[in-house]
Amino acid sequence: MSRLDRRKFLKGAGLIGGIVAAQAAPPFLREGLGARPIKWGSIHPTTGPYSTEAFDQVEGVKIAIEDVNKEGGVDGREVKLLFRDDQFKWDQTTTHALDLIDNHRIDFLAGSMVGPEEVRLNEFSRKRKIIYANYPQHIMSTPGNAKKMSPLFFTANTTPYQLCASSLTYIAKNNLGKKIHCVFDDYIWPKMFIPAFEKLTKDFNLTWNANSSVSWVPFPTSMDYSATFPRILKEKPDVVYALNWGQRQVAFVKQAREAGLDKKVKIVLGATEITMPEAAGLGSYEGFNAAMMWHPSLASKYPAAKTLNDKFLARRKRPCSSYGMLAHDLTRLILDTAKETKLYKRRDHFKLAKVLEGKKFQYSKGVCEIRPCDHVCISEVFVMRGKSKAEMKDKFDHIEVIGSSSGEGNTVSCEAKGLKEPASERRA
Amino acid sequence: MPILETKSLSKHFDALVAVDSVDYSVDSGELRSIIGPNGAGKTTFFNMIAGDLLPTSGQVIFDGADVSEVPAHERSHLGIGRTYQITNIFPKLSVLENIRIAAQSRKMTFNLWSTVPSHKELVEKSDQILERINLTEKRDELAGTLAHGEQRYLEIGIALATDPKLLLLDEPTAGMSPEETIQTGEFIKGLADPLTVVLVEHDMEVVLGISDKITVLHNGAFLAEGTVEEVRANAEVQRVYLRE
Amino acid sequence: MAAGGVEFSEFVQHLFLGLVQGSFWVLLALGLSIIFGLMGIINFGHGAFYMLGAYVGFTVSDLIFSPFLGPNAGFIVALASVPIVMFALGMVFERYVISRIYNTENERFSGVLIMFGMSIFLPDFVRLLWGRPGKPFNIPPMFQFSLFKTGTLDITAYRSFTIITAAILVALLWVLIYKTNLGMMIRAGTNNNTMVKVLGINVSRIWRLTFGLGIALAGFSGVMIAPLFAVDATMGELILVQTFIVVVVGGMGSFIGPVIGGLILGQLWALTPLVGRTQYVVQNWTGTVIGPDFWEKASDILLFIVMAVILLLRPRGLFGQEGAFD
Repeated sequence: MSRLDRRKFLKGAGLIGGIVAAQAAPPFLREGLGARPIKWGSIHPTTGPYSTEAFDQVEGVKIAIEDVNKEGGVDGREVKLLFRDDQFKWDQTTTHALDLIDNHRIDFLAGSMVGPEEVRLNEFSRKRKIIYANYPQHIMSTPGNAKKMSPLFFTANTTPYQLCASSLTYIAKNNLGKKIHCVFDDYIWPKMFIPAFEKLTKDFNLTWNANSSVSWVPFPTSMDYSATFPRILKEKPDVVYALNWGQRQVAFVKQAREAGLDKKVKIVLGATEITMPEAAGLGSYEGFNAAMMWHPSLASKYPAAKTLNDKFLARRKRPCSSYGMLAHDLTRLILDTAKETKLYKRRDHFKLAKVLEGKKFQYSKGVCEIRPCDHVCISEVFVMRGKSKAEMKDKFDHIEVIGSSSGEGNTVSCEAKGLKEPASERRA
Repeated sequence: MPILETKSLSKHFDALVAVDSVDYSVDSGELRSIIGPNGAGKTTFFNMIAGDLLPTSGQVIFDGADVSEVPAHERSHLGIGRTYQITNIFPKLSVLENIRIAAQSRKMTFNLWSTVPSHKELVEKSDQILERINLTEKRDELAGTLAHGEQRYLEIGIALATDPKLLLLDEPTAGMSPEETIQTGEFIKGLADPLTVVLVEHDMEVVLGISDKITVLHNGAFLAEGTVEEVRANAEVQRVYLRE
Repeated sequence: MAAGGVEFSEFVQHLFLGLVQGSFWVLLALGLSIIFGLMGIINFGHGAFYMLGAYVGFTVSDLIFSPFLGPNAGFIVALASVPIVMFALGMVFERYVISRIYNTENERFSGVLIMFGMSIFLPDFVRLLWGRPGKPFNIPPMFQFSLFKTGTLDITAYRSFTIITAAILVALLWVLIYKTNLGMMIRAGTNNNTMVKVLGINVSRIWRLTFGLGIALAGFSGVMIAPLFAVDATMGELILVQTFIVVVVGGMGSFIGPVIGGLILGQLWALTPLVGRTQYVVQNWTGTVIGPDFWEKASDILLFIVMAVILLLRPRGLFGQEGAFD
């Protein structure tokens, strides 16, 4: 029986104790010394109804981070993606955000798909003073939300107003008709288009009225748009402007085609995504117009768009959607700006925000700019045309870009909103 | 040769002894009655024969085979048919269908997708039983709409349709008027031989006229057995029934 | 009925649309009701199997048969084969999953949990197998015309086809339930399950067939609705809510209940938007005029209100058996 050497024992105990302590310690302590990576904490609903789009977002973020790391990282540090799936459940959004901020000490908060997630992450950004890269549509831009918007909130996405402006500009310029009738799903997103319609139809001298020119469709259970068609046929509008998304848009397109509505009026979809014509079938969008924030065919115009789309095709066997592009471009913008200025630490986020405000940037589409007063991304919005079956080059080639509009004219101005100083200076 | 035998059949519910070591034997073709005051253990004894309860100890021997541990639905296939104290029929099915479904349960090879009237021998058999229980005129009515007495007959009809060798009737005249009771007594008498019938009754008068032999249970134990006259003359039986 | 701003043709058009919507609710509610009646399991996975039916239909039609036989024949093959495939799938599912809970403690609740689990599992399973974006499935060319068309009235061929098919199916189902041996067993089991067991009838076979039948109905509804709506992994979640309302209103454990319930609610859904377009001015308690937009938005919510009222006044539903939930 050998006696246990005291020194050896202490060594061993210390080692075990150290391992135990390291396991129990918060993750940020476990990394020890050396160049601490920059952590990009990103929350996406990759389970649930928007999983297609959410996976595209994640892919966009991954590509952006890989490219930044390939170019040497930020301040010599590696950027690390901490991705979380909130399963399209808002309590999970909150749980993951808390975990990422408190336990993992992330440097940037990112993600989300829809309004309720955006609202929650915006609150974290405001209270914890961390930059939030927001991927869904900028609902914080609506005048009522200006005070709630975190000064560290950034997005590359458009506002409902910008989408609406591009479609109505196209309708007016191409004389598609004077009388507009809307088919809106009854929830918050289409309702955000009403103020835009009220102002822009007057500016463009179009016939439209909030009371008599909108058919509301119950949301989300009712999916038969045919019930709105008799009224539309009676109203005899020149243009039907529809706002619906995902499988609901697919249903609308099929039903409009079945009823022959497309032969009587011009149909404009307020927004669409490449997955929808794919689910509706070959040539299903023929003759329809739609607004989009981006389309993979822009690869022929912008080299960066081509690079991004090629990577997407290689990895996911399908073209990049605007979700992928928006997530990619915003991630790139923030990391590249952090690299240039070395302002990536949490305590420097307000300084970084100041730099981002008014910054012009170009990645996958034309030059964009983040407007200081409300962080609206002044960027191009594209008008699309559905191709016939014969025109399609491959199975993803359903729609093509036929025009675009951009500039501050597509937005509610800072003056109209009553906002003067840059958002980063409106510190509560 | 006895068709049914029990050997020291007992049932305990925790500390309560419901049936205490009863030896019982019924010959083929007999019409037998089991009587006794409330709580005598008649229904418990009965349920052990039918298989709705399994005995704590002792044996049930049916047709020469030990069936003590055989579940009720298998005993049904072996030839034990029964009715319940509380009427147990299919109220939302027609009278014919009630009989028919029981007749069908004996014939597992028939085609499920065929129509109800398509199996001729089943229809004929059902009609014969309806004739016997005197419900031919009501064959297409919903069973739930029948009068109480008719429902009791229907229940017996259901049991008959399963081709039993032994028919167990649990208080068949419960809830019936005096005239109906007499009629039913006669009807049951008509069933016996070749069929073996065992009925449980609370009311002694019902069984007196029709039974070959009467068995009296008291406090879960065997008290007396014999013909009507023998049982009537039994001092123990008189004491039990008079004290009640 | 040409009341005020509503033209007769407009009214008929809404009746027609309500009949289409109602027909689908009837088919789905019958499947739900049959399974519940016999097995006591509230099938929360009904919508998921309906969705699976549409995907199987897409595969049979677009991937296998249409390239050789053309879209019309492909569609017919899909319509004919989906109920068979789903029937078999339902029976296999009953045999290897559901049957394991029989005679266990709380078997009905376990059944509900299993089916609820399927409603979560199947959509993601479908996304894995078929990919995430929805699948194209359109009205076959032979049905791309209108039977009758004037003004706002447009009786399209495919919708008429769905109404007729649903009516034939309901009639066949009625014959099955009320005229065949299987139907008699199903009714007997729904009526007095213990008695069926006591009679020594092999109930497991009846239960398996019934479960298969319910799933086949769900799958068939899915493939028949696919050309009108979108084929998507989540399509079953939404229609399941409406199907439950129909069953609750019509009454559990009856045949006529889901049929009448589905047709009434279909009309309620379709005609409500018209209220705002009549000449009659409806005011609320403060005297404010309730505008047409209210009635358009209300057609969905009204289904829930009707259900709540029915539950308060007649909890068993219009034609339901008393104590169906005991």
